[in-house]
Amino acid sequence: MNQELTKEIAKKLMEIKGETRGVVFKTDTEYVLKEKGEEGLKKVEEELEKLGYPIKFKEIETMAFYPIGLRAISLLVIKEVFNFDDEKIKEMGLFATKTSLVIKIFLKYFFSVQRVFSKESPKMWKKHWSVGELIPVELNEEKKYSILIVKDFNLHPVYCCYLRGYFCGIMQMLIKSPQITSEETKCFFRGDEYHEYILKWK
Amino acid sequence: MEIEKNNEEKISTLIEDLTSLENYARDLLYFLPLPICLVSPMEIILEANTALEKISGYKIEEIIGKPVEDFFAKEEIEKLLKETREKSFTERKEINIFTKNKREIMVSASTMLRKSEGEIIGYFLGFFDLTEIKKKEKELQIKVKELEKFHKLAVGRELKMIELKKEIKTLKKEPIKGPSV
Repeated sequence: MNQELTKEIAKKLMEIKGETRGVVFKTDTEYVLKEKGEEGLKKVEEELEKLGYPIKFKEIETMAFYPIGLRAISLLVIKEVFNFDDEKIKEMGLFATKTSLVIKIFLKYFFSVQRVFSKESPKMWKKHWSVGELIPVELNEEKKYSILIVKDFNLHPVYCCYLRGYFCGIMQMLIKSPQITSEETKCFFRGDEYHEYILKWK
Repeated sequence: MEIEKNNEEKISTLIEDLTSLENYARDLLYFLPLPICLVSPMEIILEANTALEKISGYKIEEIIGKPVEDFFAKEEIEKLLKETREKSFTERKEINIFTKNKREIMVSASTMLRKSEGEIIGYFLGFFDLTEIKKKEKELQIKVKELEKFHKLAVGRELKMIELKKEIKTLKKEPIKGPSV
């Protein structure tokens, strides 16, 4: 590990107020198992223990609440242990949408892009996080793009990348398109007030 | 204070129950040897199991989010979904699945319509791989043809034998004409 995530950084992350549902660790678990197997998951658990924030991934309860900082720590440890680049983190986010139990709760609304975008996406956010807000800004089916804002949620830049994949994954399940791309056009960590994502499809 | 404690206990029990249910549903879905999937009204696959992964050659994360026509011939799947919308279900309809390595596998498909508050919210699709059955069917057809051929030969031979026997019988009845001395 290249020690990008120090004990001090981890401590600071743990001080962030808010909670997350266990489902986020579950989807990470499935991704690591798929990519790196049991041995890989063990490595992640060992590193988390060294940092002082042990997680037994298989004992996580999907709908239970966990400290929000732990989510960032878990993601950063996975990134460092396997030397994952941004594309891989994005892929983790995309993968999560395909395996998340919380998303399955919302599948009954996947008959309408408009409905999921405007009405359900803020609810999806609230089912995952006790803090922050997801605001659907614009959906233009004709010009094939949509804009989303994430407000009051400033976990870590690694999560900005993860969300790019996550939003693409949701769009894949709503729109028939060979290519869906995402870009973070505004970011709190780059000095903006909030995070803004633009999704485009062909 | 007491009420708060009670509520916390109730929430904790509910979370435990949800986890148990989730594990049960997941185990069942993964164990099920029959390929199944959930398709949205927009005809995009939203859920799949490991059996579908095996038969199609695609990974679950590749299947979910793909349009159904990537797996089936457009006209065939549209016909199947139309019938499902009309009758709420269909049973044992033969259809081909396109696999990742460009093979076509014939399956028997059964479907069920999902509705909520009068609105169509999706379709459940379940498949039974007919590859082995079709293979056996072909083998049987070959065997039947061989048997028919054999039957024809055997019957022909039998008829010939009967004819010969008759001839012998007739010959036996006739007085033996020896050479005149």
